[in-house]
Amino acid sequence: MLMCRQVAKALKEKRYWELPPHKRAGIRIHIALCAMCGKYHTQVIEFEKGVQHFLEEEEKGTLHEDLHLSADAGAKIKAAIHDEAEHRAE
Amino acid sequence: MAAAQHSRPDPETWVDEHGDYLYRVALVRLGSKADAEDAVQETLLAAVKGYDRYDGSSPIRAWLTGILKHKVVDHIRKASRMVSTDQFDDEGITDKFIFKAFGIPERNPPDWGFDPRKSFEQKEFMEYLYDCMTELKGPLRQAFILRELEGISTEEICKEIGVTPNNLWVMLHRTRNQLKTCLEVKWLRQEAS
Repeated sequence: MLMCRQVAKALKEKRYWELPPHKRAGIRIHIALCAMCGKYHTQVIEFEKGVQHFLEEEEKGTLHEDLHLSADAGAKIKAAIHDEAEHRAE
Repeated sequence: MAAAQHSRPDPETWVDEHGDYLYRVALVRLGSKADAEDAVQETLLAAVKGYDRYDGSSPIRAWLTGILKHKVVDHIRKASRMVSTDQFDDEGITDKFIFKAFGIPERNPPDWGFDPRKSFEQKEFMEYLYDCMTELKGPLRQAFILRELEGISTEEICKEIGVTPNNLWVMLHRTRNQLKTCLEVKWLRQEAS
């Protein structure tokens, strides 16, 4: 079975959901049984899963649809794109 | 079978089609409206200049987002060179840190004020997480965004922001605690209202 330090080291190197399945399984077994680090590492993993879920939702583009690029910034960027496109067409 | 090809939209439509989305992606990572707007502008101009390299193998939004994320990481790298990380020196950490050994906490952390499995499934909670991440400051923000949102390796982050791997672990630990507190406040307030 993994030791606390090995669990910590694995989670330090990669995000939990990026670890290979066999390593994730080893970590799950350890934290289910370990009175010393189990609760702490469970929270680390739950948090990382939450962030993973956040990234999936973010990619769908449905989070905070109330936040918009300001009209000024949008107009400035459009003008800059227009100028750059014209410059490249010359 | 050949991969589906995506269309090559006119760059002059990008702001209307993808500007808000890119802005939201930038804002949570940079924490400043002005920086997020600058990042969107730099992204779209870089994309116009490099449009020949877009091969249509992915949707245009994914391609633009990839460029934006590079810009965000560059921005954080530059910002981290201007911010002192002295507060995260080893001595300070050993004085204050709650771990009796690496990976073994001195005491168990308190329970969360929300059920993570249920909460993380809710869009409203995800928006609170967005807000709490946007509010993070300084080196803690930089470390968290590079590691948790961008998946940059520990080794690379340490090199970029000038901390040791153990310091980084402590920074991430503190950031998770800040986010947890922020989420609990927002979530409990929402439940009470």
